[in-house]
Amino acid sequence: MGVISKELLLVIPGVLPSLTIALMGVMLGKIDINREVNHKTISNMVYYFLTPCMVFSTLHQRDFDFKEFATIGGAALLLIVAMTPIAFSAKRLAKIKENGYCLPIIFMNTGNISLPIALLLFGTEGLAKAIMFHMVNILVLYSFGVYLVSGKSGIGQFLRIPALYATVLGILVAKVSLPLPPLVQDVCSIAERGIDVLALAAIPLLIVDLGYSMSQADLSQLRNGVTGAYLRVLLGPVLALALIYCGRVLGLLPIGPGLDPATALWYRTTEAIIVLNAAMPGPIMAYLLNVKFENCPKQAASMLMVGTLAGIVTVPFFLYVIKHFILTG
Amino acid sequence: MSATYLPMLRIMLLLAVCLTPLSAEAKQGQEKAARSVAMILFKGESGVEKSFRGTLARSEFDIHYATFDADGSVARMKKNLEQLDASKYDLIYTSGTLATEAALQLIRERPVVFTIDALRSDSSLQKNRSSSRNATGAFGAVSPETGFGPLSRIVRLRKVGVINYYPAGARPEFDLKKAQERFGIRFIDLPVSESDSVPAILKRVADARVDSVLFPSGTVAATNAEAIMAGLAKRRTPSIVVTGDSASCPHALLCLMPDSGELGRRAAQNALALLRGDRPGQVPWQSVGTAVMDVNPRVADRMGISLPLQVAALCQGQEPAEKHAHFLASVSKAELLIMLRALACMVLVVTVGVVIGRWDDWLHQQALIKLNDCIFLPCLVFFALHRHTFDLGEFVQMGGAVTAVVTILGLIALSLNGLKSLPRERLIAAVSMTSGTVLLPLAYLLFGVEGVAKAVYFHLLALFLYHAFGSCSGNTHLSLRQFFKIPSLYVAALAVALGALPQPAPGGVQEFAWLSEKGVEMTGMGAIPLLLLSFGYPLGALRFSTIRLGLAGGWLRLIVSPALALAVVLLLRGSGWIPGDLLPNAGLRTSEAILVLGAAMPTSHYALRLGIPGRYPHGDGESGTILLTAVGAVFTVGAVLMLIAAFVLR
Repeated sequence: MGVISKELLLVIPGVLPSLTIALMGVMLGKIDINREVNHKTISNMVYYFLTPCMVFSTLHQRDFDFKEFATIGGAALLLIVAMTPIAFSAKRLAKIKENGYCLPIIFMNTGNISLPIALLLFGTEGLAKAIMFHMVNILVLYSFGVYLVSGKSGIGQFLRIPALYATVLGILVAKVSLPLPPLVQDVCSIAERGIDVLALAAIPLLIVDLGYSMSQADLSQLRNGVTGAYLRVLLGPVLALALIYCGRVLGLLPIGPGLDPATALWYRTTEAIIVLNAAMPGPIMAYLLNVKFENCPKQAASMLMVGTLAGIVTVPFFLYVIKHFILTG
Repeated sequence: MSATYLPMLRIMLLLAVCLTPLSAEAKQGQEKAARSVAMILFKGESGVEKSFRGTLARSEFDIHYATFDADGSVARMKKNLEQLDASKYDLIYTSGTLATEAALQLIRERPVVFTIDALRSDSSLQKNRSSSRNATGAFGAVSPETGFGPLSRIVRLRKVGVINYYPAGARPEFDLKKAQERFGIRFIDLPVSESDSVPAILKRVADARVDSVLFPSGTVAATNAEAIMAGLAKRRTPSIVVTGDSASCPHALLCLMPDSGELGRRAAQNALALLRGDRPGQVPWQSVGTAVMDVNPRVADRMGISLPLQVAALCQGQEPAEKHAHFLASVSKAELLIMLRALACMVLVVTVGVVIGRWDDWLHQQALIKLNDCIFLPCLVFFALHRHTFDLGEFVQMGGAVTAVVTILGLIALSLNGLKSLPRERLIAAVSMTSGTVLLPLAYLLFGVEGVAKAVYFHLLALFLYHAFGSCSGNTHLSLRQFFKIPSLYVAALAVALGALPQPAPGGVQEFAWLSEKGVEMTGMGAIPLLLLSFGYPLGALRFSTIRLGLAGGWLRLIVSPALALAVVLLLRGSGWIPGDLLPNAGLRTSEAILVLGAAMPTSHYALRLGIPGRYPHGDGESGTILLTAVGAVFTVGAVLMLIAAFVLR
């Protein structure tokens, strides 16, 4: 046996590289005393260009399977539905009136943390599935989430998400094969290459940005978010495991020795992506919505902070669970 | 004495000259001995047979051939052999293991000369080698190691799965340990049997989490290799195959084959020995280790792998030399597409940078600079260098060449300054090239990680020269002290030092190191678009009306500089400093290409920032030079790439 056990080795690949990058972001935040790294510039770049490119780059290169989308999207919806009453109960217990408190409990950070882990652990196949989960999560956040904090429907906001159009375009390109002349095909391949290159920066910049933001966190405010954060990072994945168990019992997620290995791998990767996303802390976007609508931003910020810090321990733990109870179970 | 003999000597020389053609004609007039050869082929005639026939045609024999082609059918091949009257022929030629083994079973009275692309250790031919008294020939003995060099230029290799379709205890025919030490690759055994289903094998490969899968010689014919390779290609795992015929592996990324010309020539030498009267047992079997390779661009495309230019040129360079109408015609379509893709991609990302800059009102370029300088660029430098073998000689050559180019360019700029054609304030803009923000991404897009490694050397050398120049000229903002504050410099030194260390112990420690590197690698890859975005960010702020002010500097930067670099490269080659062989010296070719490409880069923002602080980017002359070179580089870099493909990589 080497320095690291085999079990640990299966968990570390997903976490260690992301941690390394996040640490670089934290260090940059610490040395950047003059705050030259403008957060808005970075966010705009990631939001309008790099993430859509990553979404398109991942989706257009593989076949789109509606059953897969329905399974992952359905699981994401069910998890959000299941977490909603729990979040409202926690809000009542904390004697807080604003609905903004619920957002970081109900929704998951399916972008900054989940996507790189999915890529590192499950390859491009895992990344594509994680993107599907991410799209459903932000669809509900920008509609139901905005409604919770503002009392208005946020569908207009949702329609302004560039990644949505990248998803539709990616699926269209993957699904529709037009008989194009060779010259047009070459032009398309050149454009695809450009998009692929832009996509390279999305994941590292997302993590560096997260690390940079964390370096500015006010640690004295952490107490306010402990309950909500732990509900998110502990109860979320437990609910996901229960959901998978139900799926297996109902035959929606078949398991058994007679299953073709490639099909089995497909189902197990889908399950792993569901649990992984459910184990994520609250999303930064939820905090930004709370700030925008002045709806409980301080508690949301501390919940995100505690959840992200707790994720350093809980995410590897649930990856271990994924390895033992899903991939080899 | 000498005066007496001189006329006699002259007469003798004249006679000798006159009689030489006569004797040659007499020789030609001699009757060649007639011989007949039966060619037993499994699937048509290939380059091996062409070379075989060509060598025999130059011999003292007049050979008559009778061809028996099975067209890929085993049954037809056996029928051909059964119906063959071997006594009619002086020699039987067989192509491939199947034909040779069948021929040896049926033919006893005539010698057999074979050519086999890859001789498997468990084939009956190899097992009965000592008792095969009736056969001799040539076989391919290409080591899969040959492929790791080119493959590592295409994909990052850490763990390679080896399809093990060998009898128990037998190892693949290459030195795993040696390859592991040389390339730092870990090999994972993937045992395969006939009863294994393809999905089961694919799952085994997925569980092993390997970067690529190697099919050693012989495994292609024996396993369900094509289906496995198709499955691997779908999962974006490249296959590297040692085979005789790349057409039989349409899903493999890289095929290694023995040099067919050499194989045919060696077999023909043995055949000639037999025709001259030697017995097969007296003529030793010949092995051919010279490899040629074939990269499948369609598979690379499907896997999302961009084929580096030097690898495309390498495949092209192995094709028989053809006469082209002009030098540009020698550039293949694959190479053109790689160049076009890289250039278009660069333009696209830079344009996105321009858009971001406009949105931001050009207020936050410092954010991009800080991100690149402190995190992304050092990660790219480390990622490119720590697995790249540092060659001091090559580094010195590049250093000398960069110094020569920059110095000559500087002198020309100073002369123009003397002639009042180029104001002094625009000297730096004319001489400095953007070796970081544009060259590094472009080197990656064109030449892969190897290109980035060489471009990093170029970048650091160029930066050193600017700072040294500034230090000498008394410019307070360009000094060697500033140079030693660049984080990438220390990261480069660290990476080179780590690369020189012996590989860490196998197992956990190595795995842990790779995982840490993975984060650095991801971030380093992120630098490719971010550097280009950073280059594009301020361009929108520059005014087109200033372009005419940058004409002199732009001309120097875009035309004179690459021409100088090309001249230096050709001079180095002419002086014999750089050897001409293609496959073993692909690395040197990449260095030369980077040197010429680096010299063709547009004006650097960085040097300008250091040289003219406070005025950037509003000095009209400098703005004009930057804008002119940035726009002009789209065309001139394209032209320079064509020159690189035609002259440097050939």
